[in-house]
Amino acid sequence: MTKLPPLQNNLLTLGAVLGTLCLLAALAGMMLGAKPLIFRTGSMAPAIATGSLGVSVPVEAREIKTGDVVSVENSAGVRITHRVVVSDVADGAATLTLKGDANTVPDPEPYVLKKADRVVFSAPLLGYGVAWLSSPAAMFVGGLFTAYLLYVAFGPRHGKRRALPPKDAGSDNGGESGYKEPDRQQNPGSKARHSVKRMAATLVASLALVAAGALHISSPGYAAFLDSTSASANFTATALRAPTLSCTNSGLNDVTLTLTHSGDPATFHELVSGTPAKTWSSGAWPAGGLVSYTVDADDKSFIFSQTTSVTFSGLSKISLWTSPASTSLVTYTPKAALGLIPAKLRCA
Amino acid sequence: MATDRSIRIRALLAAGMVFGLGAVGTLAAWTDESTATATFSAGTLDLKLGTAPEGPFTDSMALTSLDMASMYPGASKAGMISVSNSGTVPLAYALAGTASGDLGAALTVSVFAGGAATNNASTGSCSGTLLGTADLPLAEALISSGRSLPAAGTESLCLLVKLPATAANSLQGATTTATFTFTGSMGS
Repeated sequence: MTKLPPLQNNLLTLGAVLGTLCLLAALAGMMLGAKPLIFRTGSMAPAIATGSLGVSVPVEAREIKTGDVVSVENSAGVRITHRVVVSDVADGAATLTLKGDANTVPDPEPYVLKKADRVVFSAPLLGYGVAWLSSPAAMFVGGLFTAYLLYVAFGPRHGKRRALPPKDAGSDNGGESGYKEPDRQQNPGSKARHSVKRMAATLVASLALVAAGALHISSPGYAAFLDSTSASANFTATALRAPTLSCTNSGLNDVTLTLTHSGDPATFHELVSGTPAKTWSSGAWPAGGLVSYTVDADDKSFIFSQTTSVTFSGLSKISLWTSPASTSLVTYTPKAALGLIPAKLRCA
Repeated sequence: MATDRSIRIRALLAAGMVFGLGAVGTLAAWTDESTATATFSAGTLDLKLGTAPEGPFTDSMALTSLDMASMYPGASKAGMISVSNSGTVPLAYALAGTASGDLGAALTVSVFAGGAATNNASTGSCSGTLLGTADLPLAEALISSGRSLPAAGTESLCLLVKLPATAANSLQGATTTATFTFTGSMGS
């Protein structure tokens, strides 16, 4: 029978207990869908500090409440773990607005999801430890530890423990009575069995190392820091002002209408009349901002058979903007006495 | 009594520690493979704005150099703003504008890095490097791909706000306050 030194024996028992707990916890975690999260930043401080380890459990969208801390992935694939400030649930999908406790503003994008990982537990500093577990050094230590345990389990012990003789090969746990004290050197069957076990141990140790290598891609729960700041400026659009429109009698029968730019940014002018509908003058404001136009009383637009008041309007324009109109009234008197008295326009 | 079998079983159970601890990291990897390594940042993130590259910097400021009192179609105004990372970690910032009313919806912005702002009567210009697209509607994302700013770094931007020539007649006399929000985030 094998005797281990008391210290080693007790450590092995302790290791077995811890190992069993680890296995049970891992099993329970897998069944619940629990996910460890490493907090890389302090955006959830002080509730969850940098380097914390959190545990999240998936929950349905409708179970998510304001105030919960949930872990989601943003559109860039970065895992964000922040507190829910607004949650709208519709058709089993939640639209969440998240904000880090230490952030001054919520995350810019809302998250739409059917399931989220709710953080149910967090502990400070453990995240650093878990991050270390993913380091090459930890992998090496883990592999070495596994190899050692496999050696303890399957390797030869204290130079006196030997494997079963060949005839008992089928019964690995045949009890102490089944063991002999054969000389290893003289028992080729025992030697062969040892090499098989060693190969198995090496194989398992290698697998453990590969598995430990998988730890290297362990990824952190990323709680993003955000800070927002703003600048404001005031803009006022100007309003175009009507140009001044003045009327002066020109000669005996005509009138001259003069438009004066009001000093606004307008670049175009227009002189129109309502009835008859006609644009008398339009175009760019000339330098000096003064447009004079003489309206001839003999113009064919005037088809009135009796004295009529005609409204002239002056406008300023720029792009799609039009100013209010200035108006000026002009009285039209048709020709009389079979044309002996000509048509006449007079400023009203 | 420590038999071979007992030792063997206990040793294998003890190996469960490696598995269990490994699972902690590996479980996370199964659900999220976006980041390969864990790095911790205990620093602070603090984005501030100022009118000059030397500061002073604040969290909220009136960019009066950009104010314009009598805009008309085609008018524009340029103004400089300094963005400062007053924290201890590098950050990436985005810029989004908001402005109320129809006038706010009509204004466009071009963002330039560096350079200087020049304004004559009612036309402004920026001499820096155009970031993204020119004449973006003011009330939307103006810088969407994060622009990185190292810790304690400062960057000058020139904002050129324009009322396009196509501005509707109904905008005459309208007033709006535009807000430019800079949001700094770490790492992403």
